Amino acid sequence: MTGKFRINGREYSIEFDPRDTLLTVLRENGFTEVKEGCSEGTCGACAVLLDGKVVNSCMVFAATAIGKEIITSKGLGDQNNPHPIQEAFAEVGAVQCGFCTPGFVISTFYLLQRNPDPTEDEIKKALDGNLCRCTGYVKIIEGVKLAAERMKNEKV
Amino acid sequence: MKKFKNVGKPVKKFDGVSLAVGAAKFTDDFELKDALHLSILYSPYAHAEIEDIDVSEALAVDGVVDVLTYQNVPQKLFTTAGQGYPEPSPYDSRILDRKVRFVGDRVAVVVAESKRIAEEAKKKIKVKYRVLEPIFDPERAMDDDAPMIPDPEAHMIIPAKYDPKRNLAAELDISYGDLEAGFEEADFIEEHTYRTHYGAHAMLEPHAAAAYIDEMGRLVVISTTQVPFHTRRILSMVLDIPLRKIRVIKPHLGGGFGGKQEIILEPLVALVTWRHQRPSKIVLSREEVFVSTRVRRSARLRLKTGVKKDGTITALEMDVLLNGGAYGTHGLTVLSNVGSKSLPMLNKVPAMRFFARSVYTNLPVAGAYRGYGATQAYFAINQQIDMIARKLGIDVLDYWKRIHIREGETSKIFELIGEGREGTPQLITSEHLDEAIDLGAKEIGWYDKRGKRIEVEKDKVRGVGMAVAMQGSGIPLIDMAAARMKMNDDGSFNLYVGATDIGTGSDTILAQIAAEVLQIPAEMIIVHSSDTDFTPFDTGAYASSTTYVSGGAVKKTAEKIKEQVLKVASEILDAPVDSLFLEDGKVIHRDTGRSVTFSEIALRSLYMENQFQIEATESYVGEISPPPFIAQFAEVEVDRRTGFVRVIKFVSAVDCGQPINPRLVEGQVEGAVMNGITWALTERYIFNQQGRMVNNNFGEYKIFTPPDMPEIVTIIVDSYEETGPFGAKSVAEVGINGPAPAIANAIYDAVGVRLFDLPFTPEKVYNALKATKN
Amino acid sequence: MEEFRWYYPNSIEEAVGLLELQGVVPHGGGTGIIRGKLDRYKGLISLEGLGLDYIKEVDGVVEIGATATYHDVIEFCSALYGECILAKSLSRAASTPLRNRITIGGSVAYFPIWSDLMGPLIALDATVSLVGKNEGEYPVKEFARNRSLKSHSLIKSVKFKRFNGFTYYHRAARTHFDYGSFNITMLASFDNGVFSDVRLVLVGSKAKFQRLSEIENGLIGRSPSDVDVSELIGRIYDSVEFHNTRIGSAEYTRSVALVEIERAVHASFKAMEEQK
Ligand SMILES: Cc1cc2nc3c(=O)[nH]c(=O)nc-3n(C[C@H](O)[C@H](O)[C@H](O)COP(=O)(O)OP(=O)(O)OC[C@H]3O[C@@H](n4cnc5c(N)ncnc54)[C@H](O)[C@@H]3O)c2cc1C
Ligand code: FES
Ligand code: FES
Repeated sequence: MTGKFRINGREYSIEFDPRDTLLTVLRENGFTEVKEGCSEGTCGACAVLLDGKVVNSCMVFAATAIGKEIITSKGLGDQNNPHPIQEAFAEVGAVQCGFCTPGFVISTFYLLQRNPDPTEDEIKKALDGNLCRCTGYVKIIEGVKLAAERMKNEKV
Repeated sequence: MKKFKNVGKPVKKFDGVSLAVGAAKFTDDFELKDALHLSILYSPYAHAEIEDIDVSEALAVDGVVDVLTYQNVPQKLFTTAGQGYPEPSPYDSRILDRKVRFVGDRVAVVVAESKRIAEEAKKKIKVKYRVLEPIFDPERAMDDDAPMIPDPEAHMIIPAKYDPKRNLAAELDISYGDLEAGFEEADFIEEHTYRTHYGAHAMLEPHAAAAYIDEMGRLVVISTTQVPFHTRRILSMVLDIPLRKIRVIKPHLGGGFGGKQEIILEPLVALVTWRHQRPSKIVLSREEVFVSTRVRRSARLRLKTGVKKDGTITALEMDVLLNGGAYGTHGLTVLSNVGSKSLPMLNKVPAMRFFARSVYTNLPVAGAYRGYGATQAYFAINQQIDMIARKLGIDVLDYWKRIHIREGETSKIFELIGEGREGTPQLITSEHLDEAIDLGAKEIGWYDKRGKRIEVEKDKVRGVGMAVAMQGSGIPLIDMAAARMKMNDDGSFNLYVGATDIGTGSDTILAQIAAEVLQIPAEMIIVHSSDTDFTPFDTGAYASSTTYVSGGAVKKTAEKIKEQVLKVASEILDAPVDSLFLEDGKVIHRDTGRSVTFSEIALRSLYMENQFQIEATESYVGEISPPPFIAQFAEVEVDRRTGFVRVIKFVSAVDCGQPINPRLVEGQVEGAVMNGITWALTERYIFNQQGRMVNNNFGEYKIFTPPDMPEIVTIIVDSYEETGPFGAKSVAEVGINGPAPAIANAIYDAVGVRLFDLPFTPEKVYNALKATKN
Repeated sequence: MEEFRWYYPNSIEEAVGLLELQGVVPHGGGTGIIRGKLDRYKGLISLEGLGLDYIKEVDGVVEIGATATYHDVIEFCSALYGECILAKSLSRAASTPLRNRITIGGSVAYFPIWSDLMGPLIALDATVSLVGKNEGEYPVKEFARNRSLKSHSLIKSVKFKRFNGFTYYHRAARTHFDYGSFNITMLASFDNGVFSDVRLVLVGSKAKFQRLSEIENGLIGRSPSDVDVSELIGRIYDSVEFHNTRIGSAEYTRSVALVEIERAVHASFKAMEEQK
């Protein structure tokens, strides 16, 4: 089947198998910043924003995302203009192998949109769907805090 | 502390932003036009022979290009262990074999135009197996009536005890001193048996490999490997393709922890691409990673110590049985490390025996895993010492301070056990374990909590426990690393290293080392790593070797560059080299203060006078392997009525020499700690009667997400290793050794039950609690 | 491979018509469907165009449309009143990204043994509104017992009377993000130092779910000081049975469940104490 998707602000007309997940469709069309760590909804590496809400793209049929707004980590920033979350993650050492990071960035963005000033406990809960094997999460939590602070200041 | 410009600074990891954005490419992110996709058929039996395999229906499926079986692939024996040559692991594996040795062993590989077609066609392969008796219990593996698991032609290419007929993958029997007299002399004997379990690396990126033919007709392999150079060598050997025709590239790698120090998928894509002259690709599913790649080997350790009333340990005997699963990869070297990385800690013991065996069973294959045997050993040693200290009525912190190895001392074990051969004698050149113990104890609140059994909530009791450990920094006289550097017009440098950044940030710290030598900002160094065509040799990312060994190579290289830079500067400034010094990207004349910038030096050497390329290549082999030391502390809360254990706080104080990049050091420790905590509490391989892992997904193989985290604190102890690059030692592995025993000791402190078997599931704790009540 | 197609109905009638097709089933959040064998289906019906993502409260009756997600319910309920049992239980379910997808309708229909939805709904005496072949309003308990009600029918919404008293939820699991092994829901109201209403539900046992009426009855009309809690727990010992669970053996799980039920009762005592 064919569907129109809005990905990172641009419209794409994509042909795909009706059983394909959104993850497959995104990766096959070059959005390789969306990672596949499990395909079972358990690792969060594939997280994207779907109409503003964080979802595991491996748990979403592409057919149900037609016409919706999809944002990936690259939609938030790029290497030369990173989003404050991406910048903060890199700065504090929240990125080791980085395979989990685009997913964490998306979960963090979702959190900070809804709660610009989260407590440590709220941060941890908001990241309850993301696995990272490298960092032990310590620096990731720190990265979220730093990003929150910077984003608050930016808005002022 | 020494003063540095780059070293010791939390320089931002070079690829951090690129990774956070998602621009950095991993193996599966490369677009290969018209690639063939591979799908593997695995054995449903733990032990069987393929009597007949019919692939005709699969081959007939539209879009299927090839089906590989043992009948049409090279049958050379090799080891999947990504180790240096000659490998200290048995040659006991084939790309595809007629015999299958565990549930998850490979039977056939379907090659098709798409993944979906390959997967569908796979279902049409008909296999007739002759099912053989499997062996799951390592204690039974060497019984007289046990069936032989490895290949009849399996062999080692180095001299080592190896007896495939008896399912013996490796054996060591090493001793010094008079053991009998030692036990005789003791006032009491402490003897216990400990069991550690299988563990998955659970790196977030599944194993993957891709291959294509380049414009010159050479074979290029991109893969999730920690060891690109070993991969190239082994591919050439197994597939009979001249080494010069193979290029191996490690792109970004999503975590390894030892699990990617194995040549597993590369031979498949290399073979398919070479045979069909088309690109090919395979990415494993999470389930495949769990069942068919590698695990941490399980261990049974019997530890016997003779102790005098004054606390002197008079003799120690460690009897170890490792279960390496269906193939012998890393068997001997992990076995060696169980002893060589742990026993030297107790160097004052006058008599020791280390008797250890690694056996084959029909369970998933064990490979390399962060800690590499030391983790298993420290689980036993740290509990044993805790028990002895309690018997002696002294604080375990004081006891450790009395017995651990110290700076300037040595251990016989260093000489007796090496990596698959004899070891090398070495003195401990830096050791700050006492400070680590004190700082850690303070942070955890040891003296306020130990033995207090604080009940924060009804029936939820807290306790604290600790563990110490050491590791190594590379394999002395074996691990070799090289680096190459060249200068660009603007005074920047390209640094080429074979070292494999697997997420650790090694590219960044190697640049920091070079930048320190040259007194320039680290950003002036552009690092290229792990491409067998363009970067010089390096053994790869294992044995905690990168900072110390590869760092050593980079430092030597940068020093050569420095000489050349100074030479050109002396020409420009018309001043002798020894009157010049480097600072902030300039060469300055000591007396006059006249200076010349790196860019001016580069422009002159490239374009103007006495032209030459400022460049250098240097190699480094460590003569010793200075161990990092760590003291780790756990505070736990045990639910007395249900057996649930929660880690409240975990503190590590580490002596890793001078940290090149403190943030990255902390990150290594924090990651290892979390890995160790979940291995102790929630991770487990669950097998059914047939030897099939039943919980092969993250839904059932539990590792923590952020809400499960305890408070984690990492302290870097002030230390300096004279032999290391700018005082550095390694840090990547040591942190995983303490969590399990520290938690065990803390549980004992809280509720008085001793847990000898990992993992500490709530039911085990509950049963132990019940047993003490009765 | 057989054709597989998607249907995007714009009205409930149209959706109900599609349910007649063989092998075609409703798609709620898809989190259950996507992990099963897709060969089983010939097609899926997207429920997104049906306007069933509402949650409302009218005259003390809360109605949740089938396609409202766990996340929506948590937001709505926490805003409504802090101690809402569904907000407590659902915020422990799965993970943040999954809660943005999992729907109420799909979760009632699917009812996995680890459900964090069904215990509270049973305790709330919720009803399920069906359209299609088995059109009607069914108590959630009946719907859960009689799986054939699902066939060719669509869950439109669930309804329950808002509950304002003491709420307690416990979920036994290995880690935070895990399939729970069992869960306990307790609702209670107090009147002058005695229990006037108690509802206690265990999900995850051999029975899949059960109201622990011995305990409910042992509490109603009594004040905490009149209750012998261990005796009370003893009464349900035989009726609380488990298979082996993720946290451990059947026998062990029972022991833990009994401890946790006891803790729930004590928590209600404490709440009553505090209310005074
Ligand atoms: C990794 C993971 C962890 C999870 N953990 C938890 C947890 O801890 N607690 C918890 O409560 N849940 C948990 N879940 C969710 C649960 O397992 C189910 O996936 C979920 O409840 C299904 O809801 P859905 O809306 O996604 O349904 P779908 O997948 O869309 O549908 C499930 C079934 O219901 C049918 N259906 C859907 N909507 C309707 C309707 N309106 N009328 C009739 N039939 C319908 C479908 O045809 C299908 O048969 C978890 C899920 C995953 C993937
Ligand atoms: S790939 Fe989607 S959650 Fe792991
Ligand atoms: S940084 Fe490697 S998994 Fe998170």
